[in-house]
Amino acid sequence: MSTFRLRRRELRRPVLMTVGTVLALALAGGCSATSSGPVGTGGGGGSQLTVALFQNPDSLDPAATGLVSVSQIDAAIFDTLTYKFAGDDKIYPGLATSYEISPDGTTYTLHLRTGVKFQDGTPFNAQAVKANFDHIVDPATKSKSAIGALGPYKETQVVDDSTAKVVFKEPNLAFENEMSQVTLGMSSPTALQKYGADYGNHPVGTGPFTFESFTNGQQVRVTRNPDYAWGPDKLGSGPAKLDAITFRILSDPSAQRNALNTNEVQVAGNLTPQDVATAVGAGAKTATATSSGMPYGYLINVDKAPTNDLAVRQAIQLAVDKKSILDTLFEGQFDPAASVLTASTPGFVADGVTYDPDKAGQMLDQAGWTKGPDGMRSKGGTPLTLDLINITGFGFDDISTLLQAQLKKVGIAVTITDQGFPAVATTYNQGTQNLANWFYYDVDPFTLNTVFACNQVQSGFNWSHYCNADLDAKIIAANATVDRDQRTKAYQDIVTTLNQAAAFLPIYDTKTVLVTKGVSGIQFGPTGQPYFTSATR
Amino acid sequence: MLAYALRRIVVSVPLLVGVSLLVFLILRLIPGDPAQILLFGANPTPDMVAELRHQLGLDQSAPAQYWLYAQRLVRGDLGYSYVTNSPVMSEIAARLPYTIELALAALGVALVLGFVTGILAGMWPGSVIDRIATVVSVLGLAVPYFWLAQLLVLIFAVRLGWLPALGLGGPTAIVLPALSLGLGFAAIITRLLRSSLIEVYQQPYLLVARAKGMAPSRLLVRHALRNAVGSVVTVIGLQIGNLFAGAVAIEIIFGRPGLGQYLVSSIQQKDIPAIQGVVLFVAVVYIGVNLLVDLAHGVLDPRVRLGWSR
Repeated sequence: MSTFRLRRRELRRPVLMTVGTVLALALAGGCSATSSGPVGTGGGGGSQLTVALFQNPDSLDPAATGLVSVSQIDAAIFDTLTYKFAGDDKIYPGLATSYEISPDGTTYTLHLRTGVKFQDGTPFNAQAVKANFDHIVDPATKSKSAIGALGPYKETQVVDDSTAKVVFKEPNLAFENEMSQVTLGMSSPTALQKYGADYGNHPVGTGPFTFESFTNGQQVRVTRNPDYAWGPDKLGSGPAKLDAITFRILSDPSAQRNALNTNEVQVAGNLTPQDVATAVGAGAKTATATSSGMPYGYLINVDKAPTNDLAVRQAIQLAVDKKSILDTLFEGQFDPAASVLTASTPGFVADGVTYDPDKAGQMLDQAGWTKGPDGMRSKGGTPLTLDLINITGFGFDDISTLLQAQLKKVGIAVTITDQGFPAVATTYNQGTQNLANWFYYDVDPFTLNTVFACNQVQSGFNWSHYCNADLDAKIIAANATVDRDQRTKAYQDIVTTLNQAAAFLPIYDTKTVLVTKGVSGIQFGPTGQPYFTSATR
Repeated sequence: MLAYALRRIVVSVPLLVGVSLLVFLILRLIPGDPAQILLFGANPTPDMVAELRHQLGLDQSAPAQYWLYAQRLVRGDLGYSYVTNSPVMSEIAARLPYTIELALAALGVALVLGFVTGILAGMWPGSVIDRIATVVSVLGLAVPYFWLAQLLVLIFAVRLGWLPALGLGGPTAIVLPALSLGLGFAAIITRLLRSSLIEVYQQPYLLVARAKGMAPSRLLVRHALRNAVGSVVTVIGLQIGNLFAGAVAIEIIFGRPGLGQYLVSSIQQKDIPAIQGVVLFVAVVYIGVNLLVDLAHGVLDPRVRLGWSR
């Protein structure tokens, strides 16, 4: 079985989600939903869709799940308080028609849509909001992702049937974006009560599709919710167009490809870039969306020689030809990344770095790293050698090899070793590496706190070991800034500081690439998970 | 016969203990802290990690952990999956039918093809049939089943469209997975049966029977096969392990929700109770099947059981 893991399992195998987010391989989201294929068995009557899913759900309870693939299913079953779409920073009303945030950023007053019913007939109201948020923080739920998206939750106060106040222990402006995360989708309080610990096998929401069945390891089936009339306009008003969706679990990219070829599935999101190109050549369409969060790249350890030298870090950034890497490995299906955030994330500022190996050489010369007769650099007898620790099977292996070749050209040696996930996290926290694999999905730039805060060095995700108390304070302050524009500006400052610190080598922006056959109208959320509400076949 | 059977069963017990100990140890030698994995991404404080380690019993000494594990095993409790929080036993039970179906179908393919070609080739060595059977079986042995699976899918599902590419759904869905897994096994049976038959046909008692004019069919069924088939039965028992190993790849390629697929996803998520449960379960099946094979041997060949019960 090891052969299966060793096979480069592509870049879209999210593994475990994180703080309302994912450290996972590409399943991203962004702008152009361009799937317009021939219409198959006509909309309305009898249209069914089968979607390949690369992971077996751990739980269909959005509050509990830690897997990115579950968000695809849950986005069909559940509604969120607000909606956001890929590549669009606007917040759209969902189950909440409007909200106010207290000036101190700790209290959200939500005005709820009336006349909404869960699929089991339970009315949606302020009591339901309270039940859901209380459910997320209940230790018995064992929430893996939602609890991070929710943040420092204190309580929900039921003001009246259609007004709820969500109170946080500290300012939590990230929640304004996080409300749109599928993991914060609203479950029926009746069902939560009725099924208890088994709710993950019996999800009930207010969404466009009603859960029908889950066959462990095989498939999840949902059918159209005929009463659905409260979805965001952007997903089409009224019930879903499709009658039913089957999410077929196919962990192997070649199984997905085969099933797409035989039309046993019509949507597949985990093909190899080569198979995507072949499928498109044979008439399939793609629906793509770039994701918000952090790009695929390498966190550069600022605490370990020789990357504790800013000149070395900047030289690394200059010496890497991202476009050539992406053309070689991914058939140009991904866009080069240019910042600590992906281009569609609020707060994004480009780092302005362009491929320039000559300049990289000059910088290294100036910093005292001179070339020896073998073309490799050293300083005072210390060779310029970087330790790159790769996470096995995370889709970085080939990128790392090309990176190694490119850095060698400017006289930087790279030693690559592999380690399995998540044991590698301990190594990264210890700081044995100069370069660590990285990517992250999130709807809010507060994610930077998770990745660059001083208190995340020892046991968190701060694998660049970058610690700047001043910046920490700025991120906390940004997350307490109620005005959206001001907040975005604050994050832009933060991102600029981080880009200048050269603690991250961005390679490409994460992106969802769905290959579709005869399906149109798929839309995407900000982290690239598809919405099938308006899809037709 | 009963004493023989009992003896074989008793011998299996230390084997099982050994397997459980090995599974337990190997998983603990692999780096990676399950508590850290479970909390991954939740910004855990060291206290939270320690608390979870305590809950999972990971803070106890290895012997103490094994003792707890063994006690629960005896009660048939394989523990709870770290990922889904449901009993590993029920997860295995849910997936087992798919793996059994696949294994039986593959075994069927192997037996039918293996016996037909093995008998034909063994009865007429050097004939055209024998040569074709030899070439095909060498190929069957040389080709890895996961590659064969892809090839069969490409030809019969993608190109010809005769069969589905996924191994679940209609009644025809089992055909490609069974062929992929069974053909290599059929090749082994063919080769084994062929050489055994050739050897048996040269035995004096068969020459005598033939010289006395016994009908070839009776000769084959009553005398030749009965003596030739013993080694094949042994190999079938040994190959059960290979069938399970092969099921891992085949289930993934064809998207079948069996034990193999479960094992792989559990390994990826370092779901220790699930991995232990599946490996142990497969070991028990393996030992059980080989026990049956030994007993079958006793039935087929009286020499075996006499040798033991004396």
